[in-house]
This record gives sequence, structure tokens and C-alpha cells, in this order.
Amino acid sequence: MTEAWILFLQAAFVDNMPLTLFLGLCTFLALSRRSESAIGLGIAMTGVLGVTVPLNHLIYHGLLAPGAWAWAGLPELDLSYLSLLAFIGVIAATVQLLEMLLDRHFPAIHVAFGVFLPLLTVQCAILGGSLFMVERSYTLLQATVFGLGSGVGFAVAVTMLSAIRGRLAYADLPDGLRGLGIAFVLAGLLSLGFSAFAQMAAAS
Amino acid sequence: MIRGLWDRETVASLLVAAHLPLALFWLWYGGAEAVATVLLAALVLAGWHLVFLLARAQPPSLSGIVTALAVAVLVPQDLGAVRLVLGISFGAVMGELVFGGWGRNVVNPATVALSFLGFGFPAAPWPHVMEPVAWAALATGVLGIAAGIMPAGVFLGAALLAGVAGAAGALPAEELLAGGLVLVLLLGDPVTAAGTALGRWLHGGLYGGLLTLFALGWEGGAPVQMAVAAALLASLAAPLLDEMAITLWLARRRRRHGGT
Repeated sequence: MTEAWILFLQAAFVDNMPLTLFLGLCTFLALSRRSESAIGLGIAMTGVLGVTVPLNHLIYHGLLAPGAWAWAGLPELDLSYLSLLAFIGVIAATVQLLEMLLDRHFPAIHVAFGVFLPLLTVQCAILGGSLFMVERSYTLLQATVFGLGSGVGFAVAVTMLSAIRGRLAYADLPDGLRGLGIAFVLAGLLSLGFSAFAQMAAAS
Repeated sequence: MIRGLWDRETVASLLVAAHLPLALFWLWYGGAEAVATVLLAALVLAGWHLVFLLARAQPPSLSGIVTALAVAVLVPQDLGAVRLVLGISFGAVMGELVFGGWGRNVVNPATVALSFLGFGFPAAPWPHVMEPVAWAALATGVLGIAAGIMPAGVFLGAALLAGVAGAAGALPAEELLAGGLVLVLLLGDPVTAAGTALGRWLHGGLYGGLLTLFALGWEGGAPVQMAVAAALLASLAAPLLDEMAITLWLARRRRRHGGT
């Protein structure tokens, strides 16, 4: 139990997707303008990562990994070159399902997402989650915890950024920095803050 | 905030005055080197304030003195003048001046400068906090709260959490001293602290909690380094804590008074 908890915190804070690994920055910056869409994105990321990473784990180890077909008398068959394709397919299907659910039950969040919800399909943090799962050879439980932890870390980061950007209403920014420019500066400062967790983990 | 006498510079001068006991004790113990560091920091900050005055008509602020003091007290040692100037410039410009100057910034420039220097030059040793200086920081905190310019809720929230952690044996004395000094110097800034009453308690509590976490898990970290990292994370989370406090308040009002 403690191990799973440590992996969760590691995925959420030490290897934070947008702030430490710089994955998924497009949605991170674009959807942090308002807090409602940021919270929605955080929930969507947690849901999508929490579902796709374990699902991809099952598919990879059941069908694609070298030796997965040994029970059928094909121990040398290695389909792992198909993993990128399979992962993206699973992610696209999950996102499509999520979009239909949001459209039906939470139309306001669906409108707030706009074009970015379909773009979650090719979001690098989500695909990265599945690829890390293969590379670090997680078990199914670890994959689930890792997916949820990464999603929660993304949610924390994006809600923090959106709250700070809300406060920028009081700021007097130079023309060139309005909008996306200052968002990059703030993402850098957040990243500097989160580097403390990485330093702590590196020391121990 | 302009209400009669209470414009930005009144607050800044009161803040400078409240920091006098801390500054005097620290200079007394630090000697000539301390004087040189704080003068260099003040000079660099004055230069950047002047640049932004000329380029964007942003009025300079006396709060730069407090920033210079905070950086000089907490900065890693043996950095040399060039790195010090670089770090202070980064903190002042990216942490404060691009947002429109003191009062409009979201993070404390001293916190940014210190984190930047600590992250960029990890080999430089962090200073040890001397006990008399930490006691002088307590006097500064009391003065600041009495004058109504420092956020009492942040101090109380942090003290509450540090008290609990200290009683449980999770917060050694050295971390406690460094944490208290950083609390007054960096989190005592009224601009970057959370604005709501509950938000301030949460802000202080988050700082205390992060400091305890770092004290427990960060092997080989210097106490001041941990406290600065906790201060940066806490002040970055402060707007979110404010939003949470406001959401809770709105929900409570709605339940009491009805409405949508």
C-alpha cells in the first residue's frame, strides 16, 4: 500500500507532467485562462489517464509484448512495434467516449473545452503516460496508480496556473507579454517551484 | 489600495520600518560582508526600478529595500558578485517588475531570486540561521502585525502547523529557526500572501506542511533551502487557496440566504 502511495506522489509531484517533464503544455497553457475550464481539464486528464494507462497495460501485455502469444504456440512473435498505434487508438476511443458523456451531461464544460477535447487524443502527456508504463515495466496496479497520479498532478498544476492567471486581472503587463507570454513566465515559475520535489527525490 | 494616507508607499515604508530590528541584528552579526551584500542587492534593485520607471513609467517602490534585505539574509554564500547580480535581476524582473511593479505581482521577487540561485548553483552553501536573528525576526513579525501590514493569518497558520509538527518531533530546531526567519522575510509580504481570511490560514498551513515534508524527506537539504522552496510553492498556491476560500464562502451564503 505504501509503495503504491509513493508511486502516486512521485507521478503527481516529482515527475509532474507539465511542470517537470514539460509534456502536454499545449492544453496546459490554452485551457488555464479560466478556472472552470482548468478544473474540467484536470478532471478529464485524471479520467483519461486513469483509464487509458491500465487499459493499454492490458493490451500491451496481453497482445503486443514479445512472447505474449506463447500460449498459441508463437513464442517468437513480437508485436510491440504496433504499440504506438494501439495506444493512440485506445486513447482516441476513450476521449470520444468522454466527449459524448460531457456533451450529454455537462454541456457547459463541453463548450468550454471547445476544440481542445478532441485534441486530448494527441495530447503528449496522455500518450507519454502509456509509453512510460511500458518503459518502466509497471504491473497493472502500478499502471493504474501511475495514471491516476499523473492526472492528479496535471490537475493540481493547471488549477494553480489558472488561479494565478485570474489574479493577473490586477497586473499591468507589457504589451508583448499579455496572454500567452505571461502564461509562459508563470509556467516557468511554477516549474521552479515544483523542482523542489525533484531535488528532494534526487537526494534520497 | 489608496485610502487617504494609506497608499502603496505608506505600506512599503511601514514594512521597511518593521524590518529594522531584524536588519540591525543581522548586520550586527554579519559585519562588513553583510553590509556589502545588502548594498549590492539594493543597488541592483534600484537599477531595475529605474529602468522600469523610464521604460514603462512604473513608479519605484521602497519595498525594494525589504526585497534587498530578504535576499541578502537568505542568499547562498560564496556566489560572487556576478551570480548575485544575475539572480537578483531575474527575481526582480520576472517576479515583480514585468507584472507592473510591487502591488501587482503574484510572487515575491526575493523568493524567486533565492529559488533561482539555489536551483542554478546547487553547490553554493546556504547560510545558517543564527538564533538572535531569528528572535529579531519574531519582533519584526509582531511589529508588522501590530501595524496591520503583515498577514497575521499566514503567520498563525504556519505557527499552528509548525507547533503540531514540532510537538510530534518532525521539525528539528534548525528547520524551525530557518522556517521562522523565511516566514517573516518572504511570506510576510502583504502583496503575495493570500487575500481572504481563510485563504491566509491555509497559505500559512501549506507553508508549514511543506516545510515539515521537506524536513522529513529531503536528505542533505539545507534548512534555509527547504524553507525557501516551501515559501515559493506556498505563494504560487496562494491564488488557488483564495479561490477555494471564496467558493466555500459563496456556497455558505447560498445555503443561508438562498438564491442561485
